[in-house]
Amino acid sequence: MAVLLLAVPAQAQRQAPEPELKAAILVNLLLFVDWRNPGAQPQDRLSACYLEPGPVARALVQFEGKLLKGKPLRVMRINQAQVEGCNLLYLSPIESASLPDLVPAVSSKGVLLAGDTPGYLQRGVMLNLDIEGGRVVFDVNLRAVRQAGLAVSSKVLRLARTVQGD
Amino acid sequence: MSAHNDRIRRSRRLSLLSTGLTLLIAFILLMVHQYVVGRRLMVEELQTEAAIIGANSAAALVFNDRKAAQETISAVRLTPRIIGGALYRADGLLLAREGGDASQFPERLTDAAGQDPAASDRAPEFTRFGLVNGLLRENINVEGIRAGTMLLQVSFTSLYWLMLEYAIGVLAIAAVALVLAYRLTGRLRQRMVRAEAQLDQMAFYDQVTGLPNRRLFEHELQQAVGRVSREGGRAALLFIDIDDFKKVNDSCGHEVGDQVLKLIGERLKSAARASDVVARLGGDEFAAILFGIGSSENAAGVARSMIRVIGEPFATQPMPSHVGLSIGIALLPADGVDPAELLRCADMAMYVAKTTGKNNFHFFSEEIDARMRAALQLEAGLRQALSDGGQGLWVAYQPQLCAQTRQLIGVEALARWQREDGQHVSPVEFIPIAEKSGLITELGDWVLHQVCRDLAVMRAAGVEVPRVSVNVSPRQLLRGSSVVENFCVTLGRFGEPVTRFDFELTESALMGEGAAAVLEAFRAAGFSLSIDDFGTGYSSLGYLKRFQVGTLKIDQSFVRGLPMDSENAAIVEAVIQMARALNISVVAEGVETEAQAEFLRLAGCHILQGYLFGRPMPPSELVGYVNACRGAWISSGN
Repeated sequence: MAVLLLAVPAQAQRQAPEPELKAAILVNLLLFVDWRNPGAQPQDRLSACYLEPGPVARALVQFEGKLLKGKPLRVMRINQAQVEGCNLLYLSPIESASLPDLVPAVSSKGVLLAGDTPGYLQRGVMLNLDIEGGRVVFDVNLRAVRQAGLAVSSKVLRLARTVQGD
Repeated sequence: MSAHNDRIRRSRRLSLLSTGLTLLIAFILLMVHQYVVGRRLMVEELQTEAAIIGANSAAALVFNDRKAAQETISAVRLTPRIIGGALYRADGLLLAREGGDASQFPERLTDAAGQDPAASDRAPEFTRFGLVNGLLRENINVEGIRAGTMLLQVSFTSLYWLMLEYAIGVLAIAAVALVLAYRLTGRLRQRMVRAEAQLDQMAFYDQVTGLPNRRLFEHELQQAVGRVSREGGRAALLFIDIDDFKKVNDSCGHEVGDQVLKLIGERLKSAARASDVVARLGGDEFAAILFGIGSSENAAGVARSMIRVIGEPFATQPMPSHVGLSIGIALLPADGVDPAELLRCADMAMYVAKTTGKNNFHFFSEEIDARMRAALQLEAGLRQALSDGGQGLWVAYQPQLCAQTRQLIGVEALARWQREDGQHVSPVEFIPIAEKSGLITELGDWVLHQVCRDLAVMRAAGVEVPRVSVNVSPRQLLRGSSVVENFCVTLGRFGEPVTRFDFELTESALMGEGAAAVLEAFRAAGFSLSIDDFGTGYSSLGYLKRFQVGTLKIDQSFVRGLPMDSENAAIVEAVIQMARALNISVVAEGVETEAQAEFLRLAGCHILQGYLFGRPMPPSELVGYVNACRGAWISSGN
């Protein structure tokens, strides 16, 4: 399984479609994030959530059941009221309109907000993926991460294109 | 002196060698230990560094970030222990490489068995370390999930440089330690060598004179014998005895005695050549080996010059000391080739020299040998006879008659010996041997016993012998008063009265050391004393009175020429006159003719003894003699 997981980005580098690459990075990111103040998230699993179906959301679903830190990964579609039970919430470009409501609501609930839409980072999303030179890169909003009570490993921060709010 | 230095040099070489060897072994052990410990520490450090670099590169691997991976792996540049490194993704593909040999880092990683890297989780460690280089494999995991693999090419060169540095340091310290130890132990070593030499000196040299001792001398003699039998030529063995040395000790003390011994050693050495050996065998005995003497006359010459140099007085306090030499000479190889035998020969020759007048030397000869052997045989025979309760020994009695009445007054008891082979041994032969060997004491005791037994036997035969004279040797007096007690005990056992016994002593016995006390004891016990062979030795008339001597015996040499020899006649008359004046009775020995008997009777001699009246005879004959005498006397009407 582990090989399968990591084989994905390896192949993605050459031929994998962009959404799958992004999904793999998001899942891998969970390995480097600590939930310092456990909130409403269940302890027996890791939850990766999305609101509306999309290409990245679909790619995420492929990782359903993957063991991360000894816990199985659950990929689920939720409505806004269920956000607090998630470890990771993927926000697709479609959710742009609901950001002003959503971000304040979960900003301190221990939910890692990730997206792949330019400008999301400035709007309170903690981790935003982008494409640069044919490679997937990411930026981190560290202030938002800390506010959420999360700790992102410095190893990951080193890989980030930019780290804001430091 | 050179032997001393040799010894020091040898000891020094030995101690240097052993110290060097010890240091070498210590050095090797230290180096091995240093290598083992150093390598283990280095491997531990490498593993720690690998773990750190691995952990740092985990994210880069997970996110397949070649740039970040390259950055992380370039950290290997910081340690000289690591030449290069490479990061592989979990699927085995090379992600980043830094330094090292390209051949060590393939584009695609397989495990040691060349299997699919997918199985390498379970594959054994790939890490291998050689003597100089090594390849360290570190699996990189993130939260239990395999993220990739890191290969580090490591080099132990720095360890070897460290070892070299350490070795130089240790060698320098060892050199300093060696020099210090050498300096510090130098004095101790010298002292030990000196002590060793001293022990040798004590074992082989006489402490008083510094001459070789008996042990070394016997060794030298052995060498000399070997040399003579190998190379031919002649050598002489001198056995040297100092005459009258006891006097020096007695009059000047042992300390002075030792000084004189030292001087004697020096003088003896000066009389010999440097190549000759002069040794002190012990006491006042010295010996010398003269090498390469052409003729025996040369040995005699050395002996003569030894006697001459020793004849010079020694300047001791309170008065100068005089000693003499008696030297016995044995010649090699003429007199033998056995060291013990040669010593014996020289010793015998020395004895002959001593008895034929001191300050003399004598060559060993077959005659001496024969005489000595005969004497030894006699001594052994006599010893045997005495231990067998007097087997072959008997006592002869020679009558002593009153000069006036020819009546039996007493007898002189004389020891006789007939050996097992029936041969009679003359008292002239065996008495001196008994005196020399000390057997005279036992012989004297036996004679007194036998006299008592004979008296009892004769008494049973009806003959009561009025008086018995028994000879006492000066040697017997040396035992002190106990000899008198012994005599009394013996007489008491047989119930004989002491008054029946008369003990004959020579004049020299009276003069002997401690004799006065013993003679007093004889008198006190009630025995009467006679002076035997009166007139032949030095006489002290004072002694005659002091010890209340009862009888003088005029030696037969004075009686022999009577009555024609006017000088002897004058001596005999004078002795008799003096004795009468002192109220001492006189016995004339060796009376063989009636003319002698008549002369002596007229001169006033009391008692006569000699062949004219009877030879010494066994007790059985004496019984007949006494009976005949008695009959003659009765028939003569007196």
